[in-house]
Amino acid sequence: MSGKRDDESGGDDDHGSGGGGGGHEDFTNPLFFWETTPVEGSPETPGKVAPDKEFEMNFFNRDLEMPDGREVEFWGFEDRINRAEEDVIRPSSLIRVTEGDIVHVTLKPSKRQHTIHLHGIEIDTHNDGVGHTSFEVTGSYTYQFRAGAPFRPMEGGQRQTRGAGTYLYHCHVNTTLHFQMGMYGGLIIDPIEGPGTAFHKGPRYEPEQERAWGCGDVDPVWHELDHAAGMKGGDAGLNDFNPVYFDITGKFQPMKYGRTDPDAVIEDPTIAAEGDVGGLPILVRYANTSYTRQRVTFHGIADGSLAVEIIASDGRPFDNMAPNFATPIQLDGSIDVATAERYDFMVTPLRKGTSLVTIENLHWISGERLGVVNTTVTGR
Amino acid sequence: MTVVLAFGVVAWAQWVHASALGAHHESSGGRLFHWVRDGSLTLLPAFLAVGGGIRTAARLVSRRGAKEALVPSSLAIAALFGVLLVPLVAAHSAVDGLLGGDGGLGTIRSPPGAGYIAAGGSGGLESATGFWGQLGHGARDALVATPVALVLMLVTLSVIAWRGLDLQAPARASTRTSSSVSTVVPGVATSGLTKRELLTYSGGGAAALALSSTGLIVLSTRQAHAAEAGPTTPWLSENIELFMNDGIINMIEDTPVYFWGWGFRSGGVDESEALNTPGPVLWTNHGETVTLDVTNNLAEDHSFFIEGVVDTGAIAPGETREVSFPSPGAGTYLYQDGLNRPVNRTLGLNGVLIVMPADGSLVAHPDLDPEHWTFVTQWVWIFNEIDPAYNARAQAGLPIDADEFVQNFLPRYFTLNGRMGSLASHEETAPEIVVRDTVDNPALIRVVNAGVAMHAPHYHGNHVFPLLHNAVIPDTIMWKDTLRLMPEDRIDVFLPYTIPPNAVHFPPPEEGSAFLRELHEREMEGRWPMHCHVEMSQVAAGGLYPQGLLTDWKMEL
Repeated sequence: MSGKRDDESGGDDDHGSGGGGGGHEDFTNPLFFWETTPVEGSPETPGKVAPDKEFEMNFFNRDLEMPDGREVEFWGFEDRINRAEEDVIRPSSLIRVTEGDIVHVTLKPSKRQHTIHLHGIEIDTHNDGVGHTSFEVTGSYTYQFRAGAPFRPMEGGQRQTRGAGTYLYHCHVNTTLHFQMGMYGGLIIDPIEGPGTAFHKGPRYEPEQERAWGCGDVDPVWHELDHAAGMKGGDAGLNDFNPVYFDITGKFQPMKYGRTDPDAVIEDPTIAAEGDVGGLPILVRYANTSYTRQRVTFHGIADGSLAVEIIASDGRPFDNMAPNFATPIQLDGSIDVATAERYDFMVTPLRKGTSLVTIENLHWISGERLGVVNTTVTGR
Repeated sequence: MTVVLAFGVVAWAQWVHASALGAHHESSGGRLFHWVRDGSLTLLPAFLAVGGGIRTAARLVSRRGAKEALVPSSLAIAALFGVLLVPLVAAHSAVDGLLGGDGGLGTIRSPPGAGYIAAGGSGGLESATGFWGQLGHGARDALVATPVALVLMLVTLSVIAWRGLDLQAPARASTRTSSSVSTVVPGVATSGLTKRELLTYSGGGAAALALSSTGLIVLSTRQAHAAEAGPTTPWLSENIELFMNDGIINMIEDTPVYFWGWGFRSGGVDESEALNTPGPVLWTNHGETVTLDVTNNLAEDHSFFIEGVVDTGAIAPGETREVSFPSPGAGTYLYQDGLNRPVNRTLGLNGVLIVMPADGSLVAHPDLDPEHWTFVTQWVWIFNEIDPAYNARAQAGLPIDADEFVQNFLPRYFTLNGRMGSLASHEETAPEIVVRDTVDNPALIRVVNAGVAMHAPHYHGNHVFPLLHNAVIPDTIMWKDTLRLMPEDRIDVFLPYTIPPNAVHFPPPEEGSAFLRELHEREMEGRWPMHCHVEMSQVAAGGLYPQGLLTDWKMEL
């Protein structure tokens, strides 16, 4: 797989030059949101305060070679402040912060309309990054939020000690297309105890064996579309989604005869996990970033080699503290998950050996199995 | 009621003016014109008075039934109407003067041809000028009008009650804590006052017709543009007749699509010719028996079916079937045509039944702790998808195989209570969808999937608690921002209405740039989307993002 760099944002056709409220000016129908959706070059952040953590998300588009050799264009956000790798392609750069942090995520310069929506973060409309309820950005904007989510804000700048968990962020302009193009990434909030603890006063896990599984899909036909396809009035086929490629956090399931090879396994060490029998468990932060229903099956449960507990979902721990009365769920084999849901699996190897984890991607209507992704969990 | 109030009171006022005060000496044509004009002008305050009066009365007697509500409602309406009349009469004088063209008060212009009739001999307040004089005039006329308004309202409400309209809601409003929570908000589908009552009370005549259409909707003409959709899905609880109808509904970009759907008759409102999809919300209390008549006006067999609750079997074309069943446990249910599932349902024959706890408490289920899960308002959101190719087949009378349908269904439109995108996202066009309240007033949203696709309703602004899944309390109640909603699923979602805790400022400061001020003027803050995250559902006709399955919820600041 290879990435190709093209910093001139977007090989896609131009549309609405943006800036100064021009909006998506292709439209004349008064019914449409963007007639009234402000587009601002570089709006200021109201009540900006000094951040504890900063991220600078730059738009990119790069090609990536799919398992069958096809080059497919992806778009995304690349963090230029905390960047850990040379060419981010899929998914976009990770945002990782600690409860209580004031966080600044700066979107820049995007040229065409984009936003960053912090998915699962309960935030004021101004920083929510939804074009049609707030504004779209063509220059830069700094989204400001405080990590951690108690039932209500705490007084006097106390550090907040709830809401550690797994979130997403993504572009919320023409979301149907832009999310599929890859404009999403993970957002993890650690408790004040730091990595190694799932949430404040919660269970511990082996930090070396923490895994983030963003399970996505790709319909290459959509990746040929214009940036504004779906916002120009024509039929762009955005109701017709036929994914061909499936991945876990950018590692694609190998193909055979034009479909995912059900016998192949993704063994990349950033995806597959290993844990010591009797040691600390493995934490799998799983998110469905596809447009399919995903059935996640830990095959090691059935034969007694694994125990899997769901300890949190959507950034909310199952800690049975009011107003949250959720308690951990023992997984009995598999769970079906809709798009953009997250589940945190605490995986405990009960004996030595490798067992399979499958993520089946089922069509959102027919339920047909469109593709499967395999990886493993190993007890040592 | 609005019409009765407005025209009744104006007629009375004119009689008083003419007979007792001798103010206007008009021809009968002039008087008729004056009456119609002033009656029409009075419609707005009358409407406000009816709505406001009922709301006020409902707060006062929220735990009581129909008869207790009668007098306070009438009193409140009359009083409110009286107050609203004060400035109106003053304005009326000015208008008369303007139209009279001679600058005098108490002069009106009659219809063309009738010539000018000058007022003569009026004195005192009738010809008083200046601010205080006008105000005095207004106050006097309001005093004259108020008793009549009271009588009119008493009579009208009695007639309504006599005609079998249950003024008592199936579930009465109650307060979580003693008095801090406002109990009912008519027009937002809460308990206490129902949609149906709003319809009954505030509507009358043409207004009722406008209010009664559901989402996509339509009307006696059997054809309408989605943009003209009426604002509410009616909530019905007694004397319900449903009619399976068909017709054409235009999609958001004007594509006409054939649908099956529902007309209804209930509480004196006759919408039997209408085509609503989804159908009216039916609601009842646990322990009661639900009875309704279902008439099949379509060309083939259909049925009335609620999974595990009732199944009529085939109802032949032209047949009316009485359906009666004991209400199931508290929760939310999907009624549908059970034949050829899911085809007939998806083509429009679907709707929702709500069962409230028997004790009338404002929780989704009696086993839920009211300390944590009492809601203030409740709402119904019904999801569906439309593949016009199948609608066309139904229109042509061609058979549709259910398996083939699910395999090949390619939806082009996605609806929430029959509405799409912008029409589902603004309170002006979707007052029964856009959840609105102030902070710390939790809402119960009954989310129902009447279609064939999986949906992933995602809430911005607040996480939510899915309290009931298919009328059952789950083993553990999670705290979610995205749900998995499979076909026929009903999830009762508790939206806590808390200030968003991740906001550094809430609301954010508005001073600063012109752009910030502009956003503030648009009252943007406190408004978040709920949308399906299976993003194909966010478009219409293959494009037109975001004209799909989404809405907003609003925290009034």
